[in-house]
Amino acid sequence: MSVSVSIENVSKTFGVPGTEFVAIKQADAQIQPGEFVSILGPSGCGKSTLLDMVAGLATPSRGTVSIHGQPVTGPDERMAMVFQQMSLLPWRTIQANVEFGLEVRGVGEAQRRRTAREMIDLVGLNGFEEKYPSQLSGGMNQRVAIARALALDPEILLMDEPFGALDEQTRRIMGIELLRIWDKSGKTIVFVTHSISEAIQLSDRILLMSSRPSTIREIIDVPLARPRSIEDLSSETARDIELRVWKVLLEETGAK
Amino acid sequence: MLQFRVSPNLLSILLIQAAALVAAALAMNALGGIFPFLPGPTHIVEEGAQLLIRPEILQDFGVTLLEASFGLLIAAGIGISLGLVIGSSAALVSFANPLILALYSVPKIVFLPILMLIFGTGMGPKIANAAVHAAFPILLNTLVATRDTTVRHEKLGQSLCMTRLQFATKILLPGIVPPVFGAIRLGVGLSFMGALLAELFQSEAGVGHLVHDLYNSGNIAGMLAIILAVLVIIVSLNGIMAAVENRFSRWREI
Amino acid sequence: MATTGSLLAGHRAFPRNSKRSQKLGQLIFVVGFFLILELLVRSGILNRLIIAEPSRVLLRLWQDLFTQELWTAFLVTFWEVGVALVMSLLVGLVGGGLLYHYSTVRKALQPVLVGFYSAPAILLYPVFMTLLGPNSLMIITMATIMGAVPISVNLAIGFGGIDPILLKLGRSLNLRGPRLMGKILIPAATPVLFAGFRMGLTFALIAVIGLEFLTYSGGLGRLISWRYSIFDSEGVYAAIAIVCCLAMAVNYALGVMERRIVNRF
Repeated sequence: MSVSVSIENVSKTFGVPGTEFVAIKQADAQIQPGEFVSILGPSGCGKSTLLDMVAGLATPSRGTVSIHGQPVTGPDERMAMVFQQMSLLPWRTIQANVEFGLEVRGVGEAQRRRTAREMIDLVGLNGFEEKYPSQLSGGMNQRVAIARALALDPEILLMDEPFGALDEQTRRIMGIELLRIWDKSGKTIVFVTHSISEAIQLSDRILLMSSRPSTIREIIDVPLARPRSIEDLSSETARDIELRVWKVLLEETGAK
Repeated sequence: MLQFRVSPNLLSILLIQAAALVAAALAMNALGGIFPFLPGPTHIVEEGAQLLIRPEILQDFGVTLLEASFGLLIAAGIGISLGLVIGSSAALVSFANPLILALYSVPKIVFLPILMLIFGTGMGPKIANAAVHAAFPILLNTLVATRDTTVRHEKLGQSLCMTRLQFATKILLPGIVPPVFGAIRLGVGLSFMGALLAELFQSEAGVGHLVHDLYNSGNIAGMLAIILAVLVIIVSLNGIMAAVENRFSRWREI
Repeated sequence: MATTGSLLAGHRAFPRNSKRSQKLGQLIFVVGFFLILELLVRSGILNRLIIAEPSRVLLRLWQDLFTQELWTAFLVTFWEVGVALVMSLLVGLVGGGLLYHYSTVRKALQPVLVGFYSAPAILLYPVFMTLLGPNSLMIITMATIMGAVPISVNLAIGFGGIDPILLKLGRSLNLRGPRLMGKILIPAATPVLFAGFRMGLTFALIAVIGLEFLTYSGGLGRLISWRYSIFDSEGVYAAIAIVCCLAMAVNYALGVMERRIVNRF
């Protein structure tokens, strides 16, 4: 099988020459089709910038990001994004929010409606179609955001700290839901997070970034069986991974 | 090492301002071609240079400045004290707010005849009109800020067993400074507007009267020069107030 | 500047609607105010040449309602305000979009624009009078200019306040130009648009009534200054009351519309 997302020698600098700073320096990674990969790193290390470059929302200063061997030059129909928080359009109902991406891409109304219903059903929000985002909890809103992205039927789902604003319990439960949906749909997921336990709970592999100028310092396999139970997540393997990640993070941030 | 560098942003802002000035001058020139009575930019500048050194003209500016300042002072006094009183009680706010908002939407110029009936002629009605124009935003902003600050920090005050006086001096007053100051800045322009409107209608003295006079004597260039001078005065007053505001409310997000 | 925006936004945090008992209280307060005024004038404490008794004003108002004079003036003002409002909104929308897009230009011009709409603009009326004559066209033109400037500045600030994540969403779906405007920018800015609408109305009213008042060119503003000039003080008060009612009614209608649309989400 061909590589789904390929990040080759990617660097990103910001600012004008003379006062520029290097956000990302020579990042390299390969993501396989159907894989669940997390990008984890110290805060401010450019995780979201890296994801934006994959999404075609930012251009690398050097190096290339490619999807199935074709370089990314801009937002691409094979990818859909889920953002950090409150990215729903507050003036649209849940149904209309889920339809939004399809509407923009010019899908007909009947088809749109049907797909949106399916997706709302998939994320477990039956009966909330006519509500507005402000009437739903934060967790439910993020389900809608996921449904909106899935409705586009992308090959690759890019998620930028989608559960970052949720409390720990809701976050866990959303993770379980996401894995269920991922399992059903077989999509490739690139997931940015700053939570170590979330990365372990969800991913096949963790891309661990260093602090600025960031690079991908380590790629850590998470060899836990799926579906992952609470026991699996507190097993020795899981704890070893957590320890390893923590050591790197502490080293990177200069803490002892 | 100390280094001075003009940031590219500031530079482009200055460039755009210069370009806008040139564009305005060119536009005046072009308009002068269509409407022959409109003077060209150089003519306006010349006329302005001649007018703005004459003592009687400066006196007119003094009159308007005085009226606007007194008006603003009265507006601030009434607006802030009334706003503090009403804003300190939730019940009073929900009682008074709809009434204030209703009055707020009325163009204040309609009250000018009443003010002229009450205060007669001279500076009185101009000061009053300036005050009426400037008072509402100050009152509303004080009221909203007082209520906001009280609600937000009430529990903190209680948990520290603060007295009402302590709460007022340590939390409430510092908390409402930025929005109230902002409203006063808004009031500068409004009090000028009030004073000028009254002077235009009851033309006795001041810049409004001056503009009227220059227009009637056919000196359009002089009139435009005076209007530009008013614009410069208001923009500079605004700038000074904004600088003071930034100095005293650095903690506030912009 | 930010102040105007926050001032307008501030209103929304507070109830426009009050409970029934409160409405009654407000009514009693207003009626009581006028009753006391009536008593003060009748007892001679306040000069009746300066303050007309509310009862006489009310009577005059009632009589006015059957005169051609009042309705003609009312229609002229209403029409001028309406046209000026629509025009200044259209110009303001375009201007706001441009100032938002070229934010450096906005930063450069904002102080001058804000200074301009506060006072000097009205001083230009003799020029416009010469250009266009003392008629509705002159009033509408000036009112449009006076309204469009603050609306542009405030809309630009409002557009700038849109959550950047929504813009990112738009970009990730390849939305650009007019489609981005229609699908995201304008709906997201609806509350700001309404604030702009409200501002436009305020400025259109100020400009129209003020210019009618100053130039005697018809409408309710001219009615007030005409009655003032013939020392018809209760007539002045009656006309002022009508302007107040017009302003409050239009503002109230706008408020209801705003709540229907904005507060739904």
